[in-house]
Amino acid sequence: MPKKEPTPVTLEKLLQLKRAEQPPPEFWDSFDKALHTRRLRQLVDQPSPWAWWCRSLRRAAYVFTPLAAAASFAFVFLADPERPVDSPPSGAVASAAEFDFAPGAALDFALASSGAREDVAAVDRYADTSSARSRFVDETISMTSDRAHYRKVLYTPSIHSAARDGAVHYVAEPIAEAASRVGTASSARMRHF
Amino acid sequence: MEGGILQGTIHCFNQIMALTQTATATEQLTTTTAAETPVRSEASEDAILVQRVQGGDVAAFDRLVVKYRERLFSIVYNLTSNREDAADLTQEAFIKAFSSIGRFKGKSSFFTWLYRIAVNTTLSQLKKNRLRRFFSLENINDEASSSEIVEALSVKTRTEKGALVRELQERLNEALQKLSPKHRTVVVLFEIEGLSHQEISEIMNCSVGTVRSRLHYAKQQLQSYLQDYIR
Repeated sequence: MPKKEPTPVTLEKLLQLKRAEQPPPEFWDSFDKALHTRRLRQLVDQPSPWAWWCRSLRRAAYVFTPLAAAASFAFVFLADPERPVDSPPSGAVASAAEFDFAPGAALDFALASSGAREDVAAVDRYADTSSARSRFVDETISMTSDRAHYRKVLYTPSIHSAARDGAVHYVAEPIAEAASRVGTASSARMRHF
Repeated sequence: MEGGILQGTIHCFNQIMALTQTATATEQLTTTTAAETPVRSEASEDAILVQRVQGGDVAAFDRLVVKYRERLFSIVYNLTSNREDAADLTQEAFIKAFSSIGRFKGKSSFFTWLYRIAVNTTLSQLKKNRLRRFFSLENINDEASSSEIVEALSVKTRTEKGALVRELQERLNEALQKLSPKHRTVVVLFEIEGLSHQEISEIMNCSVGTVRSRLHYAKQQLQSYLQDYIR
């Protein structure tokens, strides 16, 4: 009778021994009880939709608080009303570049209809025209014999009125106020606003 | 006359052949159906239970737990080599499955989805506690002692079967724990749980090629760790 060949030991067969590692049947009773308890606890501890909203808001606050702070800072410090405006505010019809004319040209333009430079009535007439539009003009700050200093201001004929004393006063209006800080310009110096 | 007999014989032969072919086809169909029926019925049974759970029937989930708890525990246990951790992680996997079963759309089978939850839960736990590992092994049942392989090794090493089984159990767990978690998972799912490459790729969310290559590498490693027993 031939001798029986011994079973070859392979890795696969060795690993199959692991299938025999099983917990005893009573283990499943405690397993089921523990699982049941955990599931109940999870149901009880389940957060409400309000809690979800609160959590979301809290998370959003982490993101938006610095942004809001930065926006407030920018609003308070960067949008300083005292700061002179170098460019026309949004909505202004004309740009400084469009009317980059020589000092005094605006006045000439304003008084051109009468032909008289000192004619205050002409200013009034011009101011009354509904077609008058805001524009930047150069205003004299100081003038010496050989040099004149100017700055650009927003000139809006419809919101300026001429006084009989020869000076043109500003009408207190936000856009004009923000655009230029000149209270009164002397008509004697050929700068009417 | 002879021609008529010949024609009649050929006709009969053709009929017999046709009948044989039909019988073979029917047999094949029956065999295929018989093999696939348990899988299909299991899947459809799961689908029905899942639908019931999604409809609010908690008892249906208990049935799913009873059905899959041994298999799930076995996977987690073989990945951790710690019975307490395995029990804890298996419960956690079931709780996760219960809380997210509303989002289960049935694109994969329920068991694939459940196994994926268990494997991911275990792997993330192993990653968290990779320095805090110790064995807490299950009892090995009597079937192991009477297996051919234990008989053969017992004769070869002249060791008492009970002692040999315990020694083998420790060495196998040590060898498995030396593998990386992903390689270990592939070995456990293929060699111990008997899943297919395709099923493992779905569970581990990787290609079949990756599964094969991981399995090949892992088995090479295990061969070298267990070379004292393998011949």
